[in-house]
Amino acid sequence: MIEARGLTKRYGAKTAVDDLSFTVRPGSVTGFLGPNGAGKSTTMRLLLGLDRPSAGEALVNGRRYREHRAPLREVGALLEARAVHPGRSARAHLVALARTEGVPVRRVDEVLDLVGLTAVARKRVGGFSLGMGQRLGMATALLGDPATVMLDEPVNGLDPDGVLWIRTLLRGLAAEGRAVLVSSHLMSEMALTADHLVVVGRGRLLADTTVAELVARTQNGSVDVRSPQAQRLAALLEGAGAVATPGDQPDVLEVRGADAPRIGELAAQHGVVLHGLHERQTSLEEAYMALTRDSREYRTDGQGSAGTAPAPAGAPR
Amino acid sequence: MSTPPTSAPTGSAAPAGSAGTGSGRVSLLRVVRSEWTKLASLRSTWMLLLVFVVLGVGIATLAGWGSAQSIEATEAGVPTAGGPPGGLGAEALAASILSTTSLATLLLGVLGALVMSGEYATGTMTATLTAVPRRWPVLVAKAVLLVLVLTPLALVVSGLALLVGESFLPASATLGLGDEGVLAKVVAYAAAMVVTALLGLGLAAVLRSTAGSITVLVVVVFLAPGLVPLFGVDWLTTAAQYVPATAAGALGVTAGDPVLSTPEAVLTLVGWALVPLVAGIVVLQRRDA
Repeated sequence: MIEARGLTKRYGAKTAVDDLSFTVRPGSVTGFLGPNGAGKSTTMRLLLGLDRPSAGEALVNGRRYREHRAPLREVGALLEARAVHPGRSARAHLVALARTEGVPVRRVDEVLDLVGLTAVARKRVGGFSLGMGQRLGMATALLGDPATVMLDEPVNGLDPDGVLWIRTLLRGLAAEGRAVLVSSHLMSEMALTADHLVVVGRGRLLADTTVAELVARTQNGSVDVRSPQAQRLAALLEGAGAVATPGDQPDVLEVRGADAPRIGELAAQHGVVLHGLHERQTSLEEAYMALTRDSREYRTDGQGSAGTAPAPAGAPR
Repeated sequence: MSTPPTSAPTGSAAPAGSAGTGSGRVSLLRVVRSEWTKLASLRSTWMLLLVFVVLGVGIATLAGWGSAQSIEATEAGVPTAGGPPGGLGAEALAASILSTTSLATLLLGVLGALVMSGEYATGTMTATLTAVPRRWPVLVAKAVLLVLVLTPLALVVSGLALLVGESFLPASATLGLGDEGVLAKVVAYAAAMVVTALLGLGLAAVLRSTAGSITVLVVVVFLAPGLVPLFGVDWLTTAAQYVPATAAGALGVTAGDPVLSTPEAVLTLVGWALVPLVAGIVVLQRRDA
């Protein structure tokens, strides 16, 4: 269980985290989403007491992190995957952490086995790939068998197998009743993993919602219709209370105010031939882009307004 | 909060067959053990300690051998105006041999700095402070560990430096460990070594940088005692007397009047060890990690 209440962090004039409040509940995976520079990592550092908030407070399992006397058993965290001394072996790194609160050394071997690093446990971390570093980070997070797990971009640098492994692992941890907070800038990844979403942009809360709600909220509900009798159909639709606007081709209409079945039935009643009927689904990716459009720090798309054009490679749901 | 259910793992994802994680809390003793694991698991630690022993005893050996050559030359009838080192008494010879351990001492300072700054440089500090969120036990444990590990080693190096260095000298110019004030001097130099390690640790806790800490160490350990008096500025010369090397030199047997009284020298050593450490703890507690 993680509770952030009015969490704020300022660095001089720049506000990295701005009055952020959200809750991460046990038994579910909460995706922490936002563009690069949105304040996700800073928020996690505040939750772990690594940085001091300028205002507000963060409670983990009911207490400020600093007040826990066996913190590894309360919260497991993966912040930066490669944040391990390159000259130390993976096992020595974990043993050193385990010793701080008397976690038995056999638990170290257990988590190494769990993340698949047993074969390289005594190798120096300097030679690890980014993916192996992420696995060591996961082992670190799981070391104390914690009730709350907090992971910053855990799939970075993992191959497809590794991504799938993380996804299964996170689902499993939530199924065991743990509270899981996992940050990402990839909506497509969160769509497959998270139940709940906390979306931030420029340090502010943009949405605290479920995956389904987020899509519904940004759904534009239009239908693309293709018909050789487009003009006639447009008139019929207008008569039925819908709005039909001509598309980019003469036989295409973009219809709002009527769903696909209604349009189909109307066309059938009046003997209008349809060549295509397509409900425009907002993918989660698009919903996310629409939500964070104004808060992305670095942009390349040059688009000012939301528009209705679907992203060309929108991830299929 | 209670621990989560560890049973019913779903697929291969869950920490299957958990061996349990015990029920301990963070304690200073545990953090010391953790720090020992960190220190001992780095090759650089052992390399530094090896070089420390070799340099400490090695340079003293060279110094002893050099002094022996001068003494021989003097006895062979080459007239001397009492110039060093041929004309030095046994006390001065012992002091000069021990003072050559300063380069080795600097290495311990580097080790002390690396123990802290290495964690900042590699990002390990994040994991360390996540495990010990109260923070101060980390620095205290590192200091305790350095004292425990380095004290015996420093005594051995300091003692060997004197004995091996003197082994080249004629018996008349030699002091034994049993002679008055000699053991005290050996202990004083060993203390200066451990103090320098703690100084490095404290500096690194404040500065969080290896390069910065080593720069200050070189100035304090190496440059201040020899170089600063050459500037001829009175207050700088006085200040330079209050460095670990001078303090160690003033303890135990000395050739003339010691520059610092015994309490002054002891306080100087303790100060160099503790003041930066306390500053380091303040910085560690207050600043964002």
